[in-house]
Amino acid sequence: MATDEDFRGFFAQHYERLCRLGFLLTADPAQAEDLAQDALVRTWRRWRLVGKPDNPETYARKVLVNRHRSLLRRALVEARYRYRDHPNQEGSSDEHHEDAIVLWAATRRLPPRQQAVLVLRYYEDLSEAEIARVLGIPAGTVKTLARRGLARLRRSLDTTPQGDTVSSKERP
Amino acid sequence: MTLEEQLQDAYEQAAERAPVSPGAYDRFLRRRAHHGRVVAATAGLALVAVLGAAVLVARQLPQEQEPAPPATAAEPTPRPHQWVYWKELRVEYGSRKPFTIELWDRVDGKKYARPTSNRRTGGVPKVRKERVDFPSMVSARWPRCPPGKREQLARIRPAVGLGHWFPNPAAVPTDPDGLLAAIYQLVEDPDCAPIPVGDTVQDRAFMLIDGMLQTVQPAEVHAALYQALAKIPGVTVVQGATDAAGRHGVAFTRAAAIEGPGSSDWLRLEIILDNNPRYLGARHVVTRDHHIPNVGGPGGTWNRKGQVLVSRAQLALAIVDAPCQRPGETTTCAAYVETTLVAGVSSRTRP
Repeated sequence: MATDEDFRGFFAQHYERLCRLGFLLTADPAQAEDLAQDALVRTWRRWRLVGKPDNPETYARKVLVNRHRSLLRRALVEARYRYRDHPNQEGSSDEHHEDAIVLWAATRRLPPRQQAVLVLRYYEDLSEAEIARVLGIPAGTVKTLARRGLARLRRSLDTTPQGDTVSSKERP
Repeated sequence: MTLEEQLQDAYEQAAERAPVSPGAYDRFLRRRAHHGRVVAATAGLALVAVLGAAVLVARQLPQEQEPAPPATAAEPTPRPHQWVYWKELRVEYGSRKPFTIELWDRVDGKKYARPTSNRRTGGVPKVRKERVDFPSMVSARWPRCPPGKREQLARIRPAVGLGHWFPNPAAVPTDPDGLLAAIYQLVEDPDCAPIPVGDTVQDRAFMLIDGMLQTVQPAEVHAALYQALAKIPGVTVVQGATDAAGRHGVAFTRAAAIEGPGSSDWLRLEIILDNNPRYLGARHVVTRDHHIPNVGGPGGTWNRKGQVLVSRAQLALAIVDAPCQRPGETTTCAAYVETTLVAGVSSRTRP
């Protein structure tokens, strides 16, 4: 049986990272923390009742991503996720920086599963097999979702109105 | 840039904006209370402070000292943009196998790096850069240190030498008694000590020296630290100690509140040195049967006398020229994360 000390160590090690993952999915700091806390509480319960998961980090991520997806399904919730960017923020004149924010915003308009696959692949650096484990779907589906997500992202950027778009010179 | 690369970049930049507010573990404990048994909140907080300190220590502060002590004196002074490489082997009670931790701290203290997997890139170099707001990290880890004193802690300090701990290192004596007195003064206030754990001043000094010994210091400072160790009340010297890597040496042992307030009643820290003397490692040992109610299962958790909660061995300490470069190698790791400490979000710029 794992001790609480183990879990404290795990918490200290992974809390920030989970917050960042939550933030990338929600763009809402409070919601991000909420997801991270929730994922850790659930991980702790599993840890205490059944024993330490084989890979607690994967387990916590899985809880977080799935929890986010189920929240997204509730239609009205999404409005709360909109990141309110500060137009006067330093660096907003930086074209590259601006592009990144627009691109990130575009990922958040994707369907939840595509969004999750992209975050896990391009931020968490997980392999297809690992993403499949986290989301509980076949590896082939992961591949499809990633391809569709990227395609949709590309399309949405091409059609975004002027002034809110990624400069086209950067794209192949 | 391909869309994939742009996306990686966008996520990395966006993730920097994720705020991590202080008191996370405390909130976690309250939340957890709705789901089951809770640890006393204060104990939990203190512990997370310990862990936080350990992480801080591991990340940008200590870990500096050459692998071999003779080299320390002969080495030229590290340049600000060189990196301190530190590697530790760790065995923890209850975990299946030992693991190693590698970290790089830039000598000027402004950056640190850790290796990551390059599985997805197939060995192609991949570097992720991120920024962390140092003052808010400090606030989270020293929640009870009042503003005014907290700024001292939140100053980014070099990773080598006494300047890492002392605001004015030139004024710190390098004789054992003088150095110990300066250390006592540094850890006097439990809320603002560089290591925010320890039941007494002596306890904190003992644990702080453990950290200092793992760092790059001038030879005379190391010598003074070894002697200071033996001068702390309650320290005993035990022959025939073994570190996590199986190396033999002499242990300086003392009760230490590693696991939070009051834990010095049932825990001791053994700092293991070889005859050179060189820092080998340390062990956290349970000194008497101790029961923590409501933790780790319905019956609580028993720590039995003699149990070794953590055993560690410092495997390397060296100065290298690049982040994620190992001594004797000219190339860096294929994949790593480089973190830059910044003071205040407004200083954020593109890397």
